[in-house]
Amino acid sequence: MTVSFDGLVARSGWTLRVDGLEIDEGVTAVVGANGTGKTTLGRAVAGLDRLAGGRLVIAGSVVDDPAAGAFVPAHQRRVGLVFQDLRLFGHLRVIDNVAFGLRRTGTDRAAARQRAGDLLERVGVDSGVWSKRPTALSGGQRQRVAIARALAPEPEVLIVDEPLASVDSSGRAGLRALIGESPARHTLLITHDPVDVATLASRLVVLDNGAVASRGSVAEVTARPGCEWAATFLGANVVPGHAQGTSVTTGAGLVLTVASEAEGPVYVTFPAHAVTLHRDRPAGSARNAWQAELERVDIDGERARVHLAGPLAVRADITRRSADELELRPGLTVWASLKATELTVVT
Amino acid sequence: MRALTAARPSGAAAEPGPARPAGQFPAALTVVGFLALGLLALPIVGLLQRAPWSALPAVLGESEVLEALRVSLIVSLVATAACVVLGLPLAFVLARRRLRFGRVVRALVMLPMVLPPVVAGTALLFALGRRGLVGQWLDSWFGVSLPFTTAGAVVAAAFVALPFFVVTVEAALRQAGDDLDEAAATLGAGAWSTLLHVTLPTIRPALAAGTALAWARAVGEFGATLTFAGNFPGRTRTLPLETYLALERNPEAAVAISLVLMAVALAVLVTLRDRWMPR
Amino acid sequence: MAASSLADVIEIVFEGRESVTPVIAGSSTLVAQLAAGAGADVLITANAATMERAVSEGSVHGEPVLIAVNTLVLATPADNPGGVTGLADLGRQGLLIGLCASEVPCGELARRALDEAGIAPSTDTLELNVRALASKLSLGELDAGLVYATDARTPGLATVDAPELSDHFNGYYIASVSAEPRPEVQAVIEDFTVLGSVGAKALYAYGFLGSDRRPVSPVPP
Repeated sequence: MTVSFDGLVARSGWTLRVDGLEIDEGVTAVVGANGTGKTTLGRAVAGLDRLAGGRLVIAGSVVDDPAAGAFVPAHQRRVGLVFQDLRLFGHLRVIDNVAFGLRRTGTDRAAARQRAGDLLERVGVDSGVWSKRPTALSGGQRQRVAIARALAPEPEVLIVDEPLASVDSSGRAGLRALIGESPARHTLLITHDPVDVATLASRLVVLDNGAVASRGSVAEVTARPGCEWAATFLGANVVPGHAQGTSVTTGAGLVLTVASEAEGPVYVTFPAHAVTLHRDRPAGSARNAWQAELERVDIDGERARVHLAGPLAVRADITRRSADELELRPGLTVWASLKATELTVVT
Repeated sequence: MRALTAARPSGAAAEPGPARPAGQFPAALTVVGFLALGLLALPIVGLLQRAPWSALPAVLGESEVLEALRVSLIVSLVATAACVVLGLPLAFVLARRRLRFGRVVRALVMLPMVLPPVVAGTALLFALGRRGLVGQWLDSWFGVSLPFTTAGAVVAAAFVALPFFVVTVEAALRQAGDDLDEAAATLGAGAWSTLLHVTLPTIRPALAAGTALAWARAVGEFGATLTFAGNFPGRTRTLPLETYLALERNPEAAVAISLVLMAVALAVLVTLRDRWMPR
Repeated sequence: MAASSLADVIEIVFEGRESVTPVIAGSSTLVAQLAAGAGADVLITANAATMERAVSEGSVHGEPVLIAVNTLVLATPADNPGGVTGLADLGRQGLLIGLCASEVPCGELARRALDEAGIAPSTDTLELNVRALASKLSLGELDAGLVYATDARTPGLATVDAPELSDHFNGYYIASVSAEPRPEVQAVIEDFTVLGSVGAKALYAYGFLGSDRRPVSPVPP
């Protein structure tokens, strides 16, 4: 079962061109800079935007093919969409928001509410707020309600558009877990958060300037990002750890010093170009420096991407000239260092 | 499998907003605002102080007045229903469809609001009268003639009241946009289902406001009714017409009828506001 | 609201005489207004009763003068779609009949004339204004109605002989509000009453009858 997308969507001023995109089961992250068509891709799959040409097939049935005059409207597609701006129904109680899709497909009120309650419990929305209006809830809770609402009619495809954009840090980990556990066969995660990609996605689609720049498994796309934006984005290192004040203890026991305080489980992210490599132990500030085994060096034009193994599996981008000067080769042991100000702590 | 219930956000309930200092606009506005209120209230006060309170029951018990009240209620309620049934689709067309001459069409819709009602009535005669553009066919094919009938009074009232409903509802539809409609579609709701369960409930305050405004306009309608539907007791003589005639016979009676008209309107508007419009 | 049939004549007489303010009362309403102090110089009424009321209320102090007379006629659209042949047809079911409301002078007159003729009209509308009634007749929206002879001159109207109506007429009166009118005010009043004057010519032109119920003569004999 796949979603197969081969076509173009025309909006005023620009078009999104998608050629031969196959979306497999599991979580696929759709990444790209702002305005590259991520949301449009999701809307086309959901049936909110029509193709101007080409074909869109979901689980074997053609849902959009303008040349053949075929178009299955959104409400008949079994594609759930969690909008970036949520779009909860202000006139309905929280529980009826979630029951909405079931009611529309013929489930009676009591059964729909029962099922909605189960879902709300699963996504962690306290039963005390079920009969409130969505506006009475916090951003994180509203996001959970939106996910529960989209899941209620049991869609084949779940599209989640920037799920964490409007959520404060305390709610992010839980929401990520929710998306990771999506029961939909296909989950399309539209994001520009490297942590989402690192923690949730098995496959990636990179959009650049209204076209697919790269796609495949996370490893494949990381090797061939297809555009400058994605190279930087995917070069970002994401390291899980446990924060205590400005210290974050990573899995292998290495302690990183960060600029902002946090407590509990966190991710530390930093771009590949923030990692500095040395043959010898760096002088001066000894913090955030460690010895690592060099795994591989990918040369891409003037840039060298260095893959380091344990204690932190990170990527470092350096100039090709530096790589030559350092005489880097696989198996070599080098020193890596990071400035605390380059590190971002994400909860 | 990780548990689906992870960290729960705190501070879920909406806190009441902080108390803000009042009067963050120029004080002059307050002064002028109350002057405007006075302009609205003064004629009402004038009417009240001239009201023949003791004669009120007798005047209002007159059969002509009761008959006019009956005609007014029938005409205004049917006209309002027509405004809702016809106005809602029109509001949707204006708000949701890209019309080639959108501005012109919208101006056309608002025209009855600015047209002197007598002109509106004359225009209706030209269109729907026995010799009118369409009326001649209604007459010769179906034997239907609208002028001088209660149905004609309904048409006149609906004509002048319709823009009030359409303009109010169209504005609400535009403001609501189609974001929620799209959300409903992804949840399996078809067009009708979305309309009934999402769009209409979302704009319910505007529906109530538009209905109330249209009804209020229909109740007060005078010129178009008189011109198009004429004036005959029990058939087309509504309360405003009765008031006008009473002014000729006995000004006190006119004041009394006006009081009833105002009281009924005020009661309906206040009730609608409380019941239908969330504050 | 002006006593509508007289409106054009009044307009002609008052042209260029902005210093004199008339109140034209078709009915008691404007008399009440005058009493409330509208600041007018002359009162013109479309019937005797209204003028009498103004005098008794003390709204006017000059001597009322009859300036013209108007009779009722039986009017139909030019093509007479109802086939109306006489006053009795006003009682015929199935015809669209319009009269003036009895609250206004032409309606009061019509009611008296029909009562006397023993005809119960099958009325469809009681217009508040004789001009409006004439318009609806001329548009063919009504089959027959009683309007003033002056209004019967509206294009698109035809009249049907109705001898029963000849005894029913309305007088138009003018009176000065002040007991001692200014010369300009006096001049206006004379203009309506002196043969050969602007007012008299206009009255003739619009089809009014003189106070002797004969056509107003445009020139002095």
